[in-house]
Amino acid sequence: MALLFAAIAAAGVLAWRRAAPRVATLRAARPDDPEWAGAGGDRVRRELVEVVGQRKLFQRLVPGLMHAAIFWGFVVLLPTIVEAAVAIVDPHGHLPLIGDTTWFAWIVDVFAIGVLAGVTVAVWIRKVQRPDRFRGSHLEEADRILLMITAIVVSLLLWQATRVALGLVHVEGPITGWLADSIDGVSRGTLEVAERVLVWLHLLLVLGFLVYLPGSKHLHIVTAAPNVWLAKGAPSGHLTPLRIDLEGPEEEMRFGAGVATDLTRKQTLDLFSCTECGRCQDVCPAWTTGKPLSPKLLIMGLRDHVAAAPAGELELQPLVPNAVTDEVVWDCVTCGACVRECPVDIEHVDTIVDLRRHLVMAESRFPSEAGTLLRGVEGPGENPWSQPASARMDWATGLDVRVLGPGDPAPEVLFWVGCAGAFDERAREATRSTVRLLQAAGVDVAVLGARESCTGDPVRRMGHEFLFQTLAERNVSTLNEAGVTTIVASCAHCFNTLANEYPDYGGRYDVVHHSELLAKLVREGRLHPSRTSVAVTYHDACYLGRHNDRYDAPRDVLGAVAGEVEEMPRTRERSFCCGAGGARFWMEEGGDARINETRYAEAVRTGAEVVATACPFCLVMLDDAANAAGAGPEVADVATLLARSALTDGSGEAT
Amino acid sequence: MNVAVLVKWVPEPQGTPTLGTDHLLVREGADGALDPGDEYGLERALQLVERDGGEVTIVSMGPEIAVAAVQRGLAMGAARAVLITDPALRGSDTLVTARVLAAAIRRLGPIDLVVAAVESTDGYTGTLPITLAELLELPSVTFATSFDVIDGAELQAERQTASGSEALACPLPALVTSTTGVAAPRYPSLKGVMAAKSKPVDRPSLTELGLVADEIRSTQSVTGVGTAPEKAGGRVIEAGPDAAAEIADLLEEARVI
Ligand code: SF4
Ligand code: SF4
Repeated sequence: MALLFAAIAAAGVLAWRRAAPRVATLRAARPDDPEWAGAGGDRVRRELVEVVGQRKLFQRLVPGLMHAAIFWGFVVLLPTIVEAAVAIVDPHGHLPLIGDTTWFAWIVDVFAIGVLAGVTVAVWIRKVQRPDRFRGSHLEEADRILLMITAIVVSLLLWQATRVALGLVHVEGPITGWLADSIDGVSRGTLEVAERVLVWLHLLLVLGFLVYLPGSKHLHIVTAAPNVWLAKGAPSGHLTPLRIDLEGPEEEMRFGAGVATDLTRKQTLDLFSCTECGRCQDVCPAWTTGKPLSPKLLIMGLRDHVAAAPAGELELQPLVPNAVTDEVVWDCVTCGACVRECPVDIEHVDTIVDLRRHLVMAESRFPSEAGTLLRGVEGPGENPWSQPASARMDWATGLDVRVLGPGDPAPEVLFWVGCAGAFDERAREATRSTVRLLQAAGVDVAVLGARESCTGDPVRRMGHEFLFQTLAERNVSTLNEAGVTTIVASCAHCFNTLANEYPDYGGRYDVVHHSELLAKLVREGRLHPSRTSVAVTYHDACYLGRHNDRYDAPRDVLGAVAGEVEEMPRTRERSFCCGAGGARFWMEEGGDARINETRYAEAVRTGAEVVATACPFCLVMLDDAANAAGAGPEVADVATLLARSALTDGSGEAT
Repeated sequence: MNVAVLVKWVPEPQGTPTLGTDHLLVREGADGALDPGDEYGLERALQLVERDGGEVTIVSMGPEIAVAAVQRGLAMGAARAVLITDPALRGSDTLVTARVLAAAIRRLGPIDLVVAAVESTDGYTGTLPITLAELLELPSVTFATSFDVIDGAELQAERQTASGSEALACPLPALVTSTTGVAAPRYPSLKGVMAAKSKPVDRPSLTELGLVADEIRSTQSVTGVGTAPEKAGGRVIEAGPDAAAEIADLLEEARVI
């Protein structure tokens, strides 16, 4: 008994000593802003689905089954630890209710075998299959953990077998029963010694595991559940605002994450939760096209940096370039694929944007090409194309579009054109098509014209939160004064910002994407497309799909103008970015391959004759790739395709 | 090393400025900013003092709204600014402007280098820097595509000419006018913008500058303004067997080849 307490106490002290620095780091982290900490109701659901149900792990079947077997086994076998402690004190002792019952004996056996099978598959994946996602992970550590799990489970089974053989328990599971039979001939004395040795061995292994845990990647078994709980959840396209008051005292201002103590609790817990599984790395458009950014290595880099700093010195070293390089921070397209994939709900994008915020607002350090974006948006025309505001309606030449003047009655639907839709030559075609379709369907639509500014999406994702805030406040006041209630946006980025981010600045509108409105008009019979048999594939925009779960409307539109949509291998919530997001549109691209060309090639392989998009940035990126390829399927917005098919009014539009 | 950088508030280049009946710009309600052409020389000056020590002082003459341009310069990293504003100076010609700026620079104490853009992007007279150098009795290097200060004593500059480039050197103090090639201007950080608010901006009156009425009376005035003739549309040469020859003829005619 004394020995047992001594062992447990010693393990407790050792484990605490290993855990203490992490706890201290978490306590030093900035508390998350309660105002934006996410919706509570969703949390219970996420715990059930993602932690208990292992949903994200099942996105890959075999590794999912493997992990679920180990995880569920671990949970179910927890009471046996207590049973072992009880048996150490009294060999005849049992847990109340479940101890010495046939059903629990069976459960223990079945789940123990499950764990062993899981470990076998894990070893096979790691040693034989060797998927690329583990590149850069600590593989020896995983080996040690797998070995420890095996030892714990095997010692459990053997101990149970000796108990059965000695008659200390009166029930048996299939495996322990079989093991007990096979040691039948061993003398009672030997068995008694073996039983004592095994129960101690089992308990000591468990305690050893506990001690090992805090400093290892396996800490996720403790942090995963709280990390999932604290995740901000859907819509993932919403960034947490940083209120910036230029008149306030400078010391009170936070410009994002410059040093480790600038990270929020959740951001810090993210670091301690990463299992190094590499699922995020596998889907990252930056990493898979040969750039230095891997979301996994980013998290590991930050974690190692935080772990290496002695307590109290966390704030001394800048995170960039010590923990991660500048290049890594700027490579991200904020596509959210990593976040969607991560089994423990690590939110890489928010951390990356916070790092950028510090670089841009405190240090003015960013790829120089991106300066044109900031200057353009900050300039009088308030758009990344540095065009004068007076050119905002140039796309509408020849069309009769109502421009909402101050004091005019609010339209049924306000069409938010967006800067790309207004200034980019190719995107303008989609803008014109959208307006013509809405007018043909009899929708009362108007635009803001020169009074529209950039929504601020690109500057926000580049890290210039202040500039974003200025634009958001201005646009919200314009929209509110105009009495706008419903907005249709043809840009996925404008859509996301208007729908998810403007409410933080007092702008609450019913925001729909043009594909949704167009699909509805077709469904209601207000537009009459004629179907052709052209083969078409659809590229999901990150900020429409993954970040906002809108997948069907664009496909419905396509279904009405063409036949079946040929899906690309990476589609819907696992779509692959076009390369434009996160202000990458304005930056030069390094690495082995271009993201847009990689995606276009994937589209070409479906055999489609048309690659449909529903965002002007996707359109331009993929069209650039098509031009670079020289030949291949045409890239067109769903609105353009619908206009070709549904507008036969002889309007003279070259479509 | 102390550097004075001349900056100018100009109406927004993309806007359509309106002129009053006196042919002067209507400033009320006009959008404007720091002349983009000034940012290159300012950037280079900042780089030099960041390397060698010293301070950059911004010197500007302009209306009240010019404070915005001065603030932008301070946000980029200049230490302080002098801004001269006086209704009597509205519509000043370059000689008067140069006298005012010269007085302001003299008042700063010893200055090693004066940096200006080749010309402003609103008036385009391009004569101010040279006049100023003359008044300050400084050697001047114009149209620099790059410039550097060696040992705090010598200005070395390159300038582009029609046939090639020249490398020049002259002792400090000196005046240099910079083209857009001298440096890529930095984008002021938000921290810089905030810090700029507490940097000193000296607003001396004309009397404090020791200028008398005669000196600030302009002798030039704008007597008329007209619009430029529309450019004739280009000619399209369709692809065909004669196209190449036709283009060659045109180029020859234009003395390009
Ligand atoms: S958001 Fe996209 S680009 Fe950025 S790290 Fe995640 S997967 Fe990579
Ligand atoms: S961040 Fe998430 S997905 Fe990426 S390696 Fe870590 S645990 Fe796996």
